[in-house]
Amino acid sequence: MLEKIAATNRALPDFENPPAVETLMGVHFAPVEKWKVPHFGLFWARIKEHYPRVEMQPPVIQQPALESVLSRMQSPFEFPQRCWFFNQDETRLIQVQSNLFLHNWRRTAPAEKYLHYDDLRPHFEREWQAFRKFLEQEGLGAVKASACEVTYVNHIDRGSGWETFADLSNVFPTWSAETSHKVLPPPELVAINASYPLKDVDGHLQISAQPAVRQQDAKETIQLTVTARCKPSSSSNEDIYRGLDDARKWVVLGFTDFTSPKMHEIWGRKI
Amino acid sequence: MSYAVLEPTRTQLQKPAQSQWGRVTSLFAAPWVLDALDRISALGGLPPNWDGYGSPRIDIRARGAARRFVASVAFEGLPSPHISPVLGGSVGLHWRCGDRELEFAFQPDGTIEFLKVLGPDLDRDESMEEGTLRHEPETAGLKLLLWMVGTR
Repeated sequence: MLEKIAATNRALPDFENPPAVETLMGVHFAPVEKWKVPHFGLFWARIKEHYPRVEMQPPVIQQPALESVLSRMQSPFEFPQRCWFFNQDETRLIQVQSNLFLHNWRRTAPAEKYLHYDDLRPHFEREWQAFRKFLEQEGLGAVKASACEVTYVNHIDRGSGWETFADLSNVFPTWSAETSHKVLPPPELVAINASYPLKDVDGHLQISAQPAVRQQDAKETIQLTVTARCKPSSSSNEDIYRGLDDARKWVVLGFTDFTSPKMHEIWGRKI
Repeated sequence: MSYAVLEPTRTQLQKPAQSQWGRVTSLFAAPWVLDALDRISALGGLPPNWDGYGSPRIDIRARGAARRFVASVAFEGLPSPHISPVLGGSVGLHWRCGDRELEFAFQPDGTIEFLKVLGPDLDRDESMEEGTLRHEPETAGLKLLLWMVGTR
């Protein structure tokens, strides 16, 4: 399987110093109806050796599903929860909620080696299989996968290809600061949100560029988030991994297409 | 139907809930942040004895801590802080919202002290509280700021 991924990867754009600071891959599925808060602890007991720290988080709720989630609540105490499980050196994270399983990797220092998709997918496969086994052994039912997600979070810091928001077309060819009558001055802030249907796959690519300050070091940056969600052909692991490969392919192609050749040069494009 | 919400935390403020791990503050939510960061950095330009009482330069660690704090706690609706040098090479941030005030002092040794003031009657013991932000200072500072803007 990895040989196949590697062969696909050779055809995809690649960079010496990509601006990615975090990557996520995971599976959205129909809510596990029998899932209760104690199951977070039972699952943690199985992975605690490798993920020793835990944090509760508010759930990720897709907007159209919000009402149906609320209507299923039997009491205010049943509000859905999400749990984060951190690995020892806090570079990887597993997120679990009753309809979502995600695996995150983050770069904690600029000098740290960037981990490619093929480095991370074996980690995901191991944790995902452990989660499925947990659901099965606890009698919680089988996963009905609805989407495979891959997200790359990129930080394009001020001074790296752009100085003001009037320069943004140097970073994103799709953006122009031109106006019809040149009445407006150059913009002081710009955000971009775009969604694209995927070719040959049932899914969408979402791209968001947001002006922000990184909390870790108070540096100004543009956070470029590229997310692909693909519907897998079935809930089998093989189809889920295939869906992830498709999503990853479109994230890389979309990122490269959305950003300029000038930026590709700064990031050291290899292919 | 009403819900009891206890101790809102920083992560609960970030709406919608994100699956992203690393945290950024949106400049659309708090457009004053960049200006505040520049003003904190500019304190580094003050010479020794800037106050005429022999105070040292404003320490680079104090400036860094104040910058990270501002970048982490800013949220929509929070006004821009007043920024000032403090005796001993520290950085001071001061917020006021109605009759509530908060002051933070970022010391060169990494300590963050706060002073919380409620109401104009400073003679009353309960109108002032001071302390040190120890564990997760950004989260603790955010809770104080939420108190100041009246959401707690």
